[in-house]
Amino acid sequence: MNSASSISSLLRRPQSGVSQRPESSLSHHTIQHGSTATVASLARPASSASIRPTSRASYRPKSRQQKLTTAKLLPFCGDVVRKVLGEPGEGDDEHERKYHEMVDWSVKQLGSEGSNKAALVFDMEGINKMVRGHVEKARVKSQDTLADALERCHGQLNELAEGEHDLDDEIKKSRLSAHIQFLLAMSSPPEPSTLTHASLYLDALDNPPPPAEKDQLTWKKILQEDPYEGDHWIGVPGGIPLPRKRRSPAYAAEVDDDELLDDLDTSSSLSPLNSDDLALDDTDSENETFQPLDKTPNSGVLLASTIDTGHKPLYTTYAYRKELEDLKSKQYWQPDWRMNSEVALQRRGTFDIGDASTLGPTLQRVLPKNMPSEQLPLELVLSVDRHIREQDAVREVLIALQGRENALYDQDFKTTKNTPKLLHYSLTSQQSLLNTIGDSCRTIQRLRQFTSSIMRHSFVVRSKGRQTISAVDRMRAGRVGKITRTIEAFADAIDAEIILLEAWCSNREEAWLRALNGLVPHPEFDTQDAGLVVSLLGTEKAFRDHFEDSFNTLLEVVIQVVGEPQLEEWALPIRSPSLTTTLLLDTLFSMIQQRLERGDKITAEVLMKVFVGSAEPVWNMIGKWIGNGFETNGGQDQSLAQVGGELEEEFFIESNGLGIELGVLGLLDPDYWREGYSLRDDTSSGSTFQVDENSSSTQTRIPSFLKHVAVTVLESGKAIGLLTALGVDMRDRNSGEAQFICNWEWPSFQNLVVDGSTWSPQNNSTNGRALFSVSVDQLSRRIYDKLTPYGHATGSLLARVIIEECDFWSHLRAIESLYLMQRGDIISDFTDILFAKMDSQQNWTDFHFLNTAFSEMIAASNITGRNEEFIETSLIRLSYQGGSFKEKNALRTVKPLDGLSLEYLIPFPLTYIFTPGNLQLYSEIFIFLLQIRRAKNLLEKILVRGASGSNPGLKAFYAMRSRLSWFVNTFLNFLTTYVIQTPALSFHKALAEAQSQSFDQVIEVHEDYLRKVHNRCLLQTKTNALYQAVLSILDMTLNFNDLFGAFAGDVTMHDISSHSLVLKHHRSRRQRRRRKNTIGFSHQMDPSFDTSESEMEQEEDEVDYSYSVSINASTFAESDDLFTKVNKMSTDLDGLVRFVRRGVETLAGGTSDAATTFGILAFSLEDWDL
Amino acid sequence: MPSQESDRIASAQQTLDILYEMSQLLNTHLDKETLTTCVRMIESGINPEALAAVIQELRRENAALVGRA
Repeated sequence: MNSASSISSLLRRPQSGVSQRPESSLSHHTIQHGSTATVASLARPASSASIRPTSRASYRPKSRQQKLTTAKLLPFCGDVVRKVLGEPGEGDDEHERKYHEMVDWSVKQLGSEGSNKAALVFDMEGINKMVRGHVEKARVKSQDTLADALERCHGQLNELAEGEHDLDDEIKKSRLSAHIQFLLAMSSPPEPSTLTHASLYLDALDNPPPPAEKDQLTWKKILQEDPYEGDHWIGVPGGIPLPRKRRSPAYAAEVDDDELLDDLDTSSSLSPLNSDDLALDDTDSENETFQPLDKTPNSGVLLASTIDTGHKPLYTTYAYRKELEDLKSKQYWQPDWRMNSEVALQRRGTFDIGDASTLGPTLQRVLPKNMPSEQLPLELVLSVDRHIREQDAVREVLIALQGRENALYDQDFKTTKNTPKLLHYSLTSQQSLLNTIGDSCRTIQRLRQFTSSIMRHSFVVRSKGRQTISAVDRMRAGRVGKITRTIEAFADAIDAEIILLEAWCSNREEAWLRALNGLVPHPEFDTQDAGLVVSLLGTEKAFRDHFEDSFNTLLEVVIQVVGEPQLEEWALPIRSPSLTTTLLLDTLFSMIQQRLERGDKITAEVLMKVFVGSAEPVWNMIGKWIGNGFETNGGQDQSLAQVGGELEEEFFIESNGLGIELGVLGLLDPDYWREGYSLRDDTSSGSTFQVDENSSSTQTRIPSFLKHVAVTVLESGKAIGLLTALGVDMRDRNSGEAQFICNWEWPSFQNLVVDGSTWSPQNNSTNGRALFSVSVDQLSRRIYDKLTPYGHATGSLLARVIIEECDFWSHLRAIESLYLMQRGDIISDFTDILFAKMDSQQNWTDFHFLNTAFSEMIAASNITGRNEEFIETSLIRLSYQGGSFKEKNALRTVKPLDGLSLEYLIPFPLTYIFTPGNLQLYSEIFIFLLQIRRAKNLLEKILVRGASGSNPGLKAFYAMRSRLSWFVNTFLNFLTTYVIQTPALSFHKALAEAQSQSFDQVIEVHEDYLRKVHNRCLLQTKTNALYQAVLSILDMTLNFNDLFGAFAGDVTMHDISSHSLVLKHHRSRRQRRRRKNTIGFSHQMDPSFDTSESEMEQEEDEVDYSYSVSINASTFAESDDLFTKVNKMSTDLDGLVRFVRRGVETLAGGTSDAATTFGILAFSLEDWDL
Repeated sequence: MPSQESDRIASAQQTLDILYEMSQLLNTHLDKETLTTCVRMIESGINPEALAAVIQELRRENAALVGRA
């Protein structure tokens, strides 16, 4: 054991100076974080290990070097092994043995290998790579905190390594890499605790702990102490009296602060803070003087306390105070701020022509002093004598323009009595200048209030949600006005202008601040290299030059549209949204025009920008409308439909609600196309929003700049909607229009306006302000150019789809064949059956009879006819809707035929062309033609072959017959040839043209054609007299037939075409009886011609229905009577025909297309006299 | 205490603190005392890799020892 200890003592390393110092109590304790003593203990050898007997290994013969190394290593290894293995329990021999074994082993390991393999140590570069590897690994594992922490920690180490190298350092910087390498070699994968530690570490780095407080002297501590103790109580009134030697410098209060501090510096060991240097770091603050907060020079008491340890708060330092005072001295806006030179100037008081600053005070001084204060200008009496520099005033003005609190104005942007003055301005000049600027500020402020009000309204609406507004809310909203997108956009555009203004103000301020620091003036404000002059007047002028009248004009627009605000809160206009939108856009537009006319370019540009911004929502609505068309899924989206369809209330196209209730059915409504959507140009609807009917009734709802394209927009949207409803897929089509529609892009309104606008050099110089230098005409032109091709494409595509793919031609042909009787075969077959039925007094109005007969004829013709003449029988329906059926009437007048109606069931998209109204017109033409045919048919039956000379009475009959049939034939010929056939041909031609234009064009062409035919058949109300005259002639034909029947005894013997031969033997009697009835044809050419009606009623009264026994012989007496009647009839006919001829000649008098047609009839009727 | 020496100690303390943070972040399971000893050893010229190997080995031995006990 002794030998062991002696060896061990040999091994003891030479003690360093550090280790010789007396052991502190700390050195044995566990090392604490932050304790300086810890590292001091590093130098000390582990005492317990060093005296312990070493193992046999240490006996081994060793080289001197090895011995030295071993000696050095042994205590360390002992330490390490003990740390790793833990402290042995008492009497734990096993553990003790293991311990020695391990120590020996590690010493051997480290001694023999460790020192020899020093070459393996990486340099810092290699270490950096390895650490980066670890960081990367952590990042890959999403352990960003760890990665950050590692990076920062490593960064700190790198900083250390790059710092100064001190050879005496305990830990040499050069070996840092080895340390890190060791740590890296020891590293193991991160555990949760590692991550926690990383985040704590980062947190600690970000929030460094405050300096320890224990030594800091605070007022709290001072007050907690017993009074009169401690150095800081020295000199305090009531405290410890100042020592004599300190008293004198401390009471040298009258002198300047700096001097005082110099004194303090020399007389005490206090901080030499006599400089203005504010680089106060921690080391400085350790020795700072405690200064009283209030260093009023006249206080006479200075606390010269001598606190020698700890930090003091920054605000207690003199430098801090001085800086504060310096800063305060720059705060010209403080009410108690005084210009330095002011006192001197005013004291001097003389006017110096070379010094502008003397003007203001001089003028003020020369004001009559003895004048009573009531006569003085108010602002003079009230104003305070406070002057500020002009650049400060300019700054305040710029601040005021930005709508912020400032020293010059109160919150209404009016000067107050506290408004500071400028030295070189007279009161009045300053006042007027500030008033001018104040006006502008007020305008801008009101615009600001407007925009914020609108935004607030809009926020309220948005937060409520548009869909959930109840009916009550909507009513209330109706009373308080509605927010529209356009008004929002308008507010936004104004806001953008205000922001531009604020930026302009900031730039100006920046320019002069830069200039103060010697920087080049901002290029924008100084183009002529003349240096920057900051003056109130210059600022005012620059403001005017840059913005001209734009803000005033904008405010004017706002007031015109929204009205004057109440208490800074702008209420929304109470009218219908579309009216507001239109009014707003129109007002803006007309303002632009006015300004452009005046040459007020800048204002016009600003207005244009605002206008473009405000028009954007409507423009987008147009885009949406013509892009998507109307919605056809009303049934699926009821909630949307009930709110008013997909169209905004402010849009100038409105849905009339047709089809919204019915869903898809609405689309099938023939009126849907025409009336489903329309322009909001009537003011009657939406009157609930109108408070003042008179003012709004004259206002239109289409913005004027869109008026010329409104119809195009409406039609395009409808066309696209219908195309979508028809399931037309544009992409599948190869036509140019479809491609055009597919590739259609809707630009923003701004792009539309900017595109191709002329860029002149001066525009470039103003940096984008002149983006919208487009004139009003150009704008309209551009809108038109943009919209029209699209309108054409959609229109013609739709027209083509409908005409080519919806069997338009076959239906048109069917309608023409039937209604206009162009297919003579079918019609004459049908009329033969019908008239025979009439002649035979049978019930010809029977629904089934009519339809069976008609469809049989058509079916027969379909079989024999060519393919293209095929007519779908199931689409046709004949019905009789006249009053009560009167058989006899059918024989006396053609009127009963009026009750007949021919219906043709038009399939869906074509119903827009062949509307029920149109079919009604067709039907009227059909009936008229049928009536003529009826007359013609009867006349044709009056035929007596041979032996005509035997009965002289027959001559009169035949003369009459030929006159009647001449007229009827001429008229029918005229109708079929010139009224129906010729226009039909030109209609087909026009249709082919219209097809390439638009669907509406097709509808229009068709209606035009139909109206033409209808009019020329004398069916319009204007020609009602002529129509009635023709009807009278036709009725006359029937009467003549009766007369002839009575004369000939039995007309049916001449009937060669009648299919029905019933009741022929009992008729003559009846017919004879009927002759007695006087048929009063009106001779006077009364245009009202209401005779037929009354005539029918008379007949009904007079005629009895009894069938008498037939006497099949006629006497001459009766014949005489008959001849008289025939003669009379002939006269009547002559009168009627002449009347018709005169009427037709009048009609032929014009220059219109119809006139030439009627000219033909008139010419034909000329022959009547021959 | 002479200020130079205290500066040195403070500097060493700072370095050691950062190294300790690093060791924590790398999850080396070294306490501050052991780390201090290790730093000293490396400062005196021991190869860090070898030292690391020794400590790892010691830990294994210890684990074995504890396991036997």
